[in-house]
Amino acid sequence: MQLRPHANPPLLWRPVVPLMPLCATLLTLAHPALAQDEAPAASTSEAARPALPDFPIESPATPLLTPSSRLDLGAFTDINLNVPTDLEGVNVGIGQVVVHARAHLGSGFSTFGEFTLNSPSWDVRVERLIFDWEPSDAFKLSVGRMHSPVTWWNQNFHHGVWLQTTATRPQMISFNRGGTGHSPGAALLESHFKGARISGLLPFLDRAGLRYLAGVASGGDDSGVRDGVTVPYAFMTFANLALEPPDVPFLRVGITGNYVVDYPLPNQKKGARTLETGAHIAYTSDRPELIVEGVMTTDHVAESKRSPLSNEQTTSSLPTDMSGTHMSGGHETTSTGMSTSTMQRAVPAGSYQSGALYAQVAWRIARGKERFKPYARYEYTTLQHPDHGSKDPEVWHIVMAGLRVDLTNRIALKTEGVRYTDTDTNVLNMQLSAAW
Amino acid sequence: MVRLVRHGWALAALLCCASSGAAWADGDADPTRDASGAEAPDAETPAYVVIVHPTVEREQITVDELRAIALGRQRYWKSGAPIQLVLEVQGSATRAIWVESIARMSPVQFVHYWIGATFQGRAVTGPRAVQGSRSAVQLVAALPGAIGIVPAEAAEEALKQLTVSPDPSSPLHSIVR
Repeated sequence: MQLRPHANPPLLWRPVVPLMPLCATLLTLAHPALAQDEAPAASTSEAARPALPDFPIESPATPLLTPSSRLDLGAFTDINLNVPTDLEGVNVGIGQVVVHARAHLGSGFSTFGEFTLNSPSWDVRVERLIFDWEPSDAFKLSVGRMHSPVTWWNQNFHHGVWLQTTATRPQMISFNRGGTGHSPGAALLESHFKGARISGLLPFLDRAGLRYLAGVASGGDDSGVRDGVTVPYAFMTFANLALEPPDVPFLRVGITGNYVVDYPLPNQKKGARTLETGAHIAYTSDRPELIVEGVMTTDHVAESKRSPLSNEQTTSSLPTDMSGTHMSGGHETTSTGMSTSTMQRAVPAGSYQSGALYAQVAWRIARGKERFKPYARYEYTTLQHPDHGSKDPEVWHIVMAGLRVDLTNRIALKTEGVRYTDTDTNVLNMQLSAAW
Repeated sequence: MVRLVRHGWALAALLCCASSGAAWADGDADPTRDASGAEAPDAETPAYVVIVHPTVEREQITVDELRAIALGRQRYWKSGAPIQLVLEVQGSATRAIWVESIARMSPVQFVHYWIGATFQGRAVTGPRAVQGSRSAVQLVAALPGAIGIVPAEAAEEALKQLTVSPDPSSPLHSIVR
């Protein structure tokens, strides 16, 4: 793994730096506003009641009442501080600015767009652009660029880090591809796909809450990063089934299967074939929040090819991720969408199996304004790296514990300690995130 | 010693978690009072009603359906018309009914849930918030497919009301008729 160079604080300040996030957290917790009731005092006048920032306030006199003419906008932002115990690579990183827009287009049609601005270049990327047709709860047809449905996490949180309880994503769907910063970058699965999908609530089993999702995709601009670099895929088909019983409102149990065909590398006749399977149990009631998810991938590589570049050289072309949470490419691409570094990668023939599992538990403390939510997560990842010329898998254990404080309904401060076993490193992450 | 210090960071985060509960508490939420501190309606006299736009072809609704609507899991009426959930702003008694009694969430969690639902694509738009029961009645009357809960005295004659199917086990049984 190649760690990126980071700007370190002056030597005089280094002993103080690790204490900064802790002090800031404690000061935040001690702020009396968090314990006070935000609700206004009882008032007989409805007009005197202040509008708290949750949903946009509407007036019955507003002309934009019809669903076909309403555009909703939202955004997420985050700022991160990462402090390793050895103080090598202390980072203050601006995460992403994520803007999403939604609109009814009439007759069951709607559109959704998710756009991100990423530091340091602040280029605008289209993460999702979707046209939906939903005539009923039982059927929705979606066309466009979407997030891969192979994991529950990727489907639910996308680039909205404020939505997730923790500051960082699990490694299996990390944006930190290739291993930068203190994260091993074990992203196993595709983040996006371009294609079509159908989804809905099976009408004859609606009492059981059985939901389906299936689709096909082509020309993906990213794929699994089982060997540390992005591999574009030519074709993907997937199917999900999930149970959301109405009598247990926060429970979701699901299984998923993906079949992915990568573009062939230069001088290859066939690209790699990958079968991805996964399962998840998510109970998101806040008391408790429990998420357990596992995936397995099997790559079948038919041919071998010599690479003029080493793995270290290819991964070094990836952009730095200051927070360890955001990374979404940055390669120069060819007309097929294949990155130049990918085209020179070696892939010895054979089958490669990788797998990952995480279990996360959290509990929102039922006191005061219920702002405090401690959490913990354990991750297990095993990877076979074709480029390493060995079939011995790499194994990582990552243990995390932290606290989320919802300063308001739309601002969260997360502080977490993470231990990476592969590098014997402990990192303290602090993240301030917001939803607009 | 060095190792002890290095492992101390994870421990420090855990200590933050453990210390967060007691010191900033101001008591558990009282389900018999709304967010403004007013007492919940008398158990014998349900004081709130479910109102819908007159085009909604229903006369009765179940608690499970109300919950599915509050969570955005049911987004269409049987007729195919999209459902528009109308809520009063945070701090009102009817908002507390939707959030705590029907959706079974805390106010923070409810907002969090709906921001996620729209961002995930499970719903195109979130609930429509209004200030005051009079505005809620007017918006439900103006918006096809809309549904809301208002105090009985605020519901006007021209507006359509739904009867909630009796469910003695539900806390709504004594609140909403």
